[in-house]
Amino acid sequence: MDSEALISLATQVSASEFSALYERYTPYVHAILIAKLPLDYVEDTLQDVFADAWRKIGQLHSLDAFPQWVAAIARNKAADFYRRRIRSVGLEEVREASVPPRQDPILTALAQLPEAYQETLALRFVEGLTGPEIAALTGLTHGSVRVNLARGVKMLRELMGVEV
Amino acid sequence: MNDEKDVSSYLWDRTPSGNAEADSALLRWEERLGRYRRAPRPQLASKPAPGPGAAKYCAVAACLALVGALAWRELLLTREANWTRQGERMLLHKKYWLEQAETVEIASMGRLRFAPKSRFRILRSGREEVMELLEGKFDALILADPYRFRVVTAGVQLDDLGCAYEVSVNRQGAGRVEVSLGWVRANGAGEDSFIAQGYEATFRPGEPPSEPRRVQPAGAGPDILALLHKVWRAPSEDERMAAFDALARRYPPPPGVTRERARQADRKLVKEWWPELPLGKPIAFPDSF
Repeated sequence: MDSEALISLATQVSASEFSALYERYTPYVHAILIAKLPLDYVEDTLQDVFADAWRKIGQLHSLDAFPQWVAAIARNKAADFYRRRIRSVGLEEVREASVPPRQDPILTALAQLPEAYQETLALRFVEGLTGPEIAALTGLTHGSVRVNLARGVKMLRELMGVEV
Repeated sequence: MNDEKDVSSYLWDRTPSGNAEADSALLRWEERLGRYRRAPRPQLASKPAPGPGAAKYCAVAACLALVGALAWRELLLTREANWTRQGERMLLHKKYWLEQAETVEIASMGRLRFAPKSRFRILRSGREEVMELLEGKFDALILADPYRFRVVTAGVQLDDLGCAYEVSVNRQGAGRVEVSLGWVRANGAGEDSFIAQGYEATFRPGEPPSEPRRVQPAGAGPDILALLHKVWRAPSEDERMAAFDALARRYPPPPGVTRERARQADRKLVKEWWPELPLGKPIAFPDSF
């Protein structure tokens, strides 16, 4: 690769525009990560997600796709975290190591839900958004958000037993 | 099963559903999980922002006294040497040195991560954020308009042009900046260096920052960014002419960008030639260009 290619990644989005995207979608990315990662890794991974997004945003044809795209980056980062852990521990330890250590059982329960439910529930309960706000942020339909909330809450109740 | 019917109005938009027991359970989840909502990281500011206007509380004088007492107690409890807690934020006081490894959020601009034993402080905060790094190392992710965030060291002034980069400085003020994303402008001893992602520059007190050079050696082909810097800032006329000719062979300069101007080390030609060069979208140049 010569120098032209090295520095031809100038993005079509200005820093201030990206900053606005960062502000708006931080809760979404945070919700995805907190439902999947140990707490100590959430903040740094969140920063890595947006650094990646900023680096690659020239690949996006339309900013309309930004929420789904940045969410995919976040899910990949979370998956990478466990892939790295699997590589760094012996095979016998994989099962145990793949379960993030969490201080709070409700976070452990949240991590056990299907992805769509855990993210929607994290947006509702961790980030404090309402159903309509979740739909607006994620691009999901109201119907999908309703289903995710209803089924997610039901499963979470079962996992948490009588505690809530 | 129709799952949508199972969504209580409280779960959907916090409207009481009429089932107090169910709503109460959801409220407990909100409280319990809401503790994990992302709190802003320590934030740099010259002083805490003013609170809500006092007029708002005039009608409830008794409450005002109580709020004041509680706030004062909170301040006493949470104020540390260099920091004041304000709600969820920790504000670093202006001119105080930060001396421990720390991740710091800069308003809504981005964040800095300091290596242990770094010494760093705020010089100005407001319309622009100006920080001083005396010694140590940090990496920065800044998402702000160009020239809103500046780091000064003993040897150089670094202006963010929308990017991610790493800076290290030793006790003598000599250091290095490496850019991983976007651009940084380094200015020292009256000279500039524009450092792109994948490039680095070094600096020391009293000398201009070095021209940018690739962090990883690239393949064949001239380094356009290095050539462009030589056109205006190489000390010898021969070197400037050679750089001009090498660049012009590949990317003919626009009308008005002439050898004579390169001979005179006219830095303003950089801005005019830039759009013809494979350097991406033109950066925000300082007024001197």
